Order: sequence, then structure tokens, then C-alpha cells
Amino acid sequence: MAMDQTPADVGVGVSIRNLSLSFGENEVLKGVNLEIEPGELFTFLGPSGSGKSTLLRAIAGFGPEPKGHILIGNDEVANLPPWQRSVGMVFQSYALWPHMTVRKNVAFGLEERKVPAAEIRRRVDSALELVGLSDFTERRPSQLSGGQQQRVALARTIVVEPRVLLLDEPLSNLDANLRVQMRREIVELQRKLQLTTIFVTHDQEEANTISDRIAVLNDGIIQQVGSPMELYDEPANRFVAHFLGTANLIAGAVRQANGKSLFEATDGTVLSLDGAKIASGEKCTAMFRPQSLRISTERGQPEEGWVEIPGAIEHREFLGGLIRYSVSAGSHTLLVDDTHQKGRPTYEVGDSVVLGLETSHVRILGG
Amino acid sequence: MQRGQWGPGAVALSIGLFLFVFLLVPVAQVIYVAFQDPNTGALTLINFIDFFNTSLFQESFVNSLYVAVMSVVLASAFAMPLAYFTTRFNFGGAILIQTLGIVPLIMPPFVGAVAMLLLFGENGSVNLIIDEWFGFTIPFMEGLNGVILVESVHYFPFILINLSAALNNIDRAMEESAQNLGASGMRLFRRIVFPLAMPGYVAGASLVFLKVFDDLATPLLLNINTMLAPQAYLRITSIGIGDPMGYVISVILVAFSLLSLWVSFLALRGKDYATAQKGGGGLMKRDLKAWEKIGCYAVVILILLLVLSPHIGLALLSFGTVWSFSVLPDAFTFAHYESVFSTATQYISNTLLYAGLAATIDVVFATAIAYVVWRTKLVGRQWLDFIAMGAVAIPGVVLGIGYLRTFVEFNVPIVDKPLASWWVIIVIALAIRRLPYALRACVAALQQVSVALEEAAENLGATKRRTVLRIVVPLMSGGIVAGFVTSFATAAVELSATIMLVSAQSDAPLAYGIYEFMQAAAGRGPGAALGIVAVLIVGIATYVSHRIIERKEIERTPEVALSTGA
Repeated sequence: MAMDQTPADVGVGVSIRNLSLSFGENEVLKGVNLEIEPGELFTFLGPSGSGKSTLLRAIAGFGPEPKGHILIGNDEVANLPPWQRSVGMVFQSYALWPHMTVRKNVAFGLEERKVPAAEIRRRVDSALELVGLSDFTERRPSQLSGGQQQRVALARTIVVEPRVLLLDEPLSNLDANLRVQMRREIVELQRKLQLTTIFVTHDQEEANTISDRIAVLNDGIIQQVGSPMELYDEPANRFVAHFLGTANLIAGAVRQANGKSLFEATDGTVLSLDGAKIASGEKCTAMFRPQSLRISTERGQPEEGWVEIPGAIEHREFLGGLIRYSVSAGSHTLLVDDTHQKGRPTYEVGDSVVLGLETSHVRILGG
Repeated sequence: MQRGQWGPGAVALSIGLFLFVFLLVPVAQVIYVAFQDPNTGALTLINFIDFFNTSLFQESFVNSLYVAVMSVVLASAFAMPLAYFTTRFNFGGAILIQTLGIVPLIMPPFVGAVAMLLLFGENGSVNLIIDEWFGFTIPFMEGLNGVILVESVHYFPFILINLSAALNNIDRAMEESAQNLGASGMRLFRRIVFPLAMPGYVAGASLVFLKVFDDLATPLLLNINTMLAPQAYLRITSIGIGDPMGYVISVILVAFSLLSLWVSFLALRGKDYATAQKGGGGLMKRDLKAWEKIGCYAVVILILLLVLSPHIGLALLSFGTVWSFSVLPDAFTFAHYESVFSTATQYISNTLLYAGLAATIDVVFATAIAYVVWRTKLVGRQWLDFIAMGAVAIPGVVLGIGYLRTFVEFNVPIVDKPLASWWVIIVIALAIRRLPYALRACVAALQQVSVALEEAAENLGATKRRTVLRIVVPLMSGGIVAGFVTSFATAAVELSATIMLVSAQSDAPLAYGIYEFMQAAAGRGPGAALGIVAVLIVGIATYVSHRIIERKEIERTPEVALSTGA
């Protein structure tokens, strides 16, 4: 068994090559390819049923046997049983054993590895100290709060010095405040240990705040891989655009005129585009974020690189720092975010407005 | 908190009074007499010293312990493979095994005892076959072996149900996290699965121990008198209710009942190991290979045959003419049923009356107790729950002796006879003994009803009383029906308290009738026919209630969702 750890093992990469997995007839993962860098905090983000947890569990060796390859470092693990993989997993429910004390829970993995008793004691103590639970060693899991249980689960996993740390929606059972605190602690711990970590969540805010890179999954397929900002600014498709934040999507087509690419929406609105990579004549979608629109009442002389869209306020939501307007413009309803400051004038439902859009903020998506 | 507490207070008080008179006083009386010098009336330990110095009682004590322990062992041997198969493997036998769970409800062990004798006895069907093929016999039913076999075949589902439930309640992540940390195979089982399932096993095993230790009718029918419960019965019925030994034995029976309940309590205390998450849960199941499947089915069918053998034997006996020294009866006939329906119908009608009344009392009390305990702040309300549940620890023999002693001098005015020999006392004994079953069902049902549903009714102007009648009771109805049927079915076949309290043939219920018939070889046929009638009554009642509860569940789906969401 590859249980003995040398420091060189810490921070290995994970390669997933052409991985497919089915529950009976139901294909849950459809040819997944991923390269996770050593020491990276990588997130699988997707709605429920997207296959993100299934993918994580496949890396740990749980669930039906997949087709394809999973490499941890240079070792193929796809055919190994879970107990020989040395990937540490923190379960969504924490899965602390209720019949053991905190100390026993944390010591379990070391005992399975036949580590000498004195060393177990030392390592358990330091793991519990790392998560700030040194005073709770003799408690039972049922005597701990949710956050403390979460920390025990973390300590239990990292104490065996796994090559990769897997976290399956670890914050979903915590209340909002604790969730923010715990996610910071997880990031700090991960930085300290330089441990390659894969985090599964359906919460885009959570994913954005902690991740080096994110893979967005839907329907068993990886939609896009990239840093949080890349995914937000340059989504590859409508799904990613929608899943990461609010987006205005307008269907249309690209055509060429005077050596320039023009996007023409189905209702006739024309945007000139620079450097769009879409061939002319193809059907496509223009995407822009609500904060890319500027709202005003007067129609002025459009600046270079701006287009103006007239419309009327349909609906208004006050969100604190922002006011989100729904504006009907032609056959579309566009969402506009306007920053809110005390005393600044607001628009009422029914007001006629003009929306300004900087065309460089428009992203053309295929389909 | 004083507002609206008068009604519940009055109800609680009257139930408390009932329990005091018909449970606490008789039991206290029994204990008191056991410690009383029979001649002077002074408090003494002399009766216990006498008891342990008498070789007959020493033997009985050892025998009772031996039978109870061995029954647990044998019952575990039946239950463990079945529980393991259903929770670890995907195979169709699971439903088959689940249905075994209702077998003990359908027939009391003593009814099947005679049938078992004919199938497994020295000259029974199985031994005749073994002897013919291999030239030897196996003493399945010899002496204490017979009691152990009958009891364990009958009670093993208690272990099966509890153990399966415990295994099913283990969250899969419990197992996966251990695998993730390097454990597998036997080590995984020993360190994680087994300890997590242990409380469920112990709870089931201690229940089997308690039931077997207290059982009176099975040893009596198998003619084994050197056990504690039969000794208590024989002392009281042959020497009289003044004899202190019956009381000493009663105290010992109660002490061991309490002990096994305590063990079960310890096993479960602070170990709410129901770790399964919403939606998921249960251990990892795997598919079986073809030959493994055959092996599993073979074991399941063998155990199933063994468990159903009392029923099969009883059916054969009830339709058979002469069945002796032969594998099967010589010929088949309806004569036994004819004789039962021409001479013994009063047993059936008495049973329906007694069990029906007792179960009605039980669900009314159980609903009231559940409401008082869980929905009011009455002082001492937990005691009501505690005392009502405490009836579990009182063996039927002990309650019977207590009633005889306490109520023999209490003359009921209009009928003009002692309460202890009036048929109503049988109903009360049954109601007291089965109250814990109904109470458990009703408490579970009440806990399903969200308090918000009651608050909504009160908010719209309903008084406490109206709220209980219009909201709480209708929403609890599934549990109330379940409680009624469990109480009814088990009361219909109760014998250990009844046998002490039946004072006239015309007042006797079914179980007593079966016992009477079975005493003589000639009565076995009609006795078996009566046994089949009892099985049918209980079986039909169970089926009907199952259907009613199922329909209720469907009707109430939105409420259920609401109450779990709260």
C-alpha cells in the first residue's frame, strides 16, 4: 500500500482523462477531462444533478466503477479500492462516527496505517490544534456544534497527510455566518499545507471566493474551466453566463459590414463589435452583465464604442448597494444595475430611459 | 401556563388513578407479600432464603435463565444472517424477510408448541424422516430444548427487526469515510459497522430475553414445570394465593424484566446512532453472483420454513384425523372445525369482546397520555408516561397474581362477586398489559403532527378541546389505528395473565380455550382449529389496519411534508 508519505508527495496533481460513469442506464459523467495542478484549490461548481459530487466520489473511489483514467501524481488510481488511494475526503454530513470520541475519530486513519501509538498521539494532537479543537478531544461528536464537527472532520482527514483533499459541499450544513468563517479557515489551512484540494459546491459565491480555478459542470459535462474572474467575464456559453451571476442574453446573428463585424439582434438592434471570433451569418447570443449598462433619462450623442438603447422601466428591486431595474427595450427585457448612493435620483416604474452599453463589454456566445 | 390546563389535568388525574389502582397497587402488593413473613406478617427475607434453599426452585431458576439465554443465542443465529443479507446485498429475498417481522404478532408461541412437538418431537415428522434415512434422531424438543426451539423460532424477529433497522440507519458516509482513511473488509466491519449496529442488536436481544424469561404458557404446554413462571402459576393455583413462593418468584421475574429493560436502555442511551441523511442512508449494497444468490435463498428459505413450521403444523393438525408416529396425518377432515364452531364459539366471542374493549381503552388512554406528556406543561406528566410504559416490565403472571391478591375481597356491587373473578378484570389486565404498545404508536403519531398546525387552529378561534378533537386526533388517526390493532392482536392471544384470572369456563377467551383443548391428546385437533381461528382473527386485523394506515398516509402526504419541514 502506498501509505507512507514523503513531503514530496504533498501537492501532487490530479489528471482525469476521458472519464465516464453511469448509474445503470443513466449516464452521469460524459467523458470528463481535467488537469488539476499541484497545490491548487480547485472547485467543481454546478447545479444539483450536474455530476459534480459523482466526479468527486469517483476520485475517492466511491460509486459505480467509471470508464477512463484518474491519475494522482503519476499513479493510476481508477482501479484501486478507496482504502488504497490516499485521497482524503471530508463528507457533506461529516460522517463522524458517533461511537468514538473526537480523539478516536481523528486517530482512526493513523491506526489503520499501523502508525506507532506515540506518533499517533502526537499527530492527532497537532491536527486538533491546527483546527483549534485541542480542548475537545474526549467529547463525542454529538456534543459538538456543527462548526466543531466540521473541524473534526477536517482534522480526521488531514492527519493522515493525504495526497489530495476532497471536500464535498463541506459548508452546506452550516449557518450563513459560520459558512463565511469556515471557508476562510479552509483556504488558510489549504495554503498552509500546500495540499491539492478539490472543493464541490453549488454556490457560486463560495466557489468565487475560495478557488484558484473552477470547473463548471452541467449535465455530466465540463462546461468551462478557468479562474473565477475569467468565468465571469468570459463565459464560454449561456449556461456558464447564467450560472455565474446575472446576465442579459440577446439572440441574434453576426454579419459583416464595411469590414466590421456587426451583431444584429432579432429585433433589429445593431451592435458593432471589434474582434468577435464568430463567423458571419452564424446564429449567436450577445451577453453582457447588468452593471455594463448605464442608465440615464436623456438621449445624448453616443460616445465612441457606445450604443444607446431606449426603453421603459418595468420593475425595480432595491438590493442595498444596487438598484436593479428591469427595462423593456424593444422585444427584450434588460436588467440594469445602478449603484445606489444616498440622495441619488432613482427611476420610477413607467419612466422612459436610455441605456448606454459599452460594446467592448459585450461577449458573443455561440448558439 | 395555567390557562386551558383544567381539562388535560382532569384527564391526566383519572388515568393516573386508574394506573395506580390497577398497576401500582397490585404490583406493590405482590412485592410486599414476598417480603412478608407468612405467619407473623413482619417484613423479612425468610421467603427468599427458603426459595434459594429449595432444590426445585434452584433448578427452576437455573432452567429459566438457561432457556432465556439459549433462546437469545439461537434467535440471534436465525436473525443475523437474514439482517445481513437484506442490508448488504441487492436481492429479492428482502421483502420475504421483511414479512417475517409480523409473524410473532400473528400467533403466540404456545399455540405452535404442540404443532412443533408433532413436527420436531422424538416421533415427529422430521425425526421419522431422519431416522429412516440416517438411522438416528435429534432431540429437538427434548425437555428444555423444546422450549428454547419454540421460543427462539417465535421471537427471533424482534432481533431481526431491530438489527436490520440499526443497519439501515447507518449512513453510507460512515462506511465510506472509514474506507477513505484506509479501513476495509473485516476491520471496517469490526470497527465501524458492528459498533454502530450494536445498540439495535442489544435492544432486540434483551426484548427476547425478557419475553422468554416471563413466558408461562409455552413451558406449561410442553409440560416443563421446572421453570420460574410455571412454578409461580402452579404454586398459586394448587396451594393457594397465601403461599409466599408465588410472590417470591414474581419479584424475581420483575427484577429480571427490569434488568433486561435496563440493559436495553443502557445500550440505546445517548447513542442516537440513526446517522442516515435525508434521502440517502443504508450501507453499501452489492449485487450477488449467481451462486451466492442461490446460497442466500437457501438460507432464507430454510429459516422461513422453520419459522412457519408452527403454522404449517397447526394447519395440518387442525385438518388431520389421527397424527401419531407418522410424517403426516393419516387423513384430513373438517370435523375439528365443526366441533369448534358448535361447542366453542363463546371463546371466540369472548376474545373479540375482551380484546376489543382492552384495545379501545388503550388507544383512548394512550392518545390522552401522549397529548398530556408532549403538549402540556402539567407537573408530573412524565410520571404518567413512565408508569404506563412500566407495564412492559410486569410479566402477565405477576399482574395476575397481583389482581387475585388485591381484588379478591373487593365485591362488585351489582353482579355481586369479587372483582378478581369478574370477567371485566380480564379486560383491565389486558388493557394494562398492552397499554405500552398503544402508547408508543400514539406518541410516534403525535410527534409527526407539527405544533404549528395546532397553533393555526387556535389562532382561528378553536379552543384546546376543539383543537384536539378536530386537528390532533384526526392527524394522529394512523398511529391510533396502529396502536389499536397492535393492542387488539396481542391481547387476543394473551394467556399468562388471563390464565390466572379466568374463573369460569363461560368467561374464558380463545387463548385459554386453546390451552384447555391442548391439554388432552383428543383435544389437539379442535385446539388446533381454534388456534387457526385465532391466527385468522389476528392476521385479518393486521392486514386491515395496514391498509387503513396506507390509505391515511396517501391522504395526508401534504401534512406529512409540512410537519417534517417544520
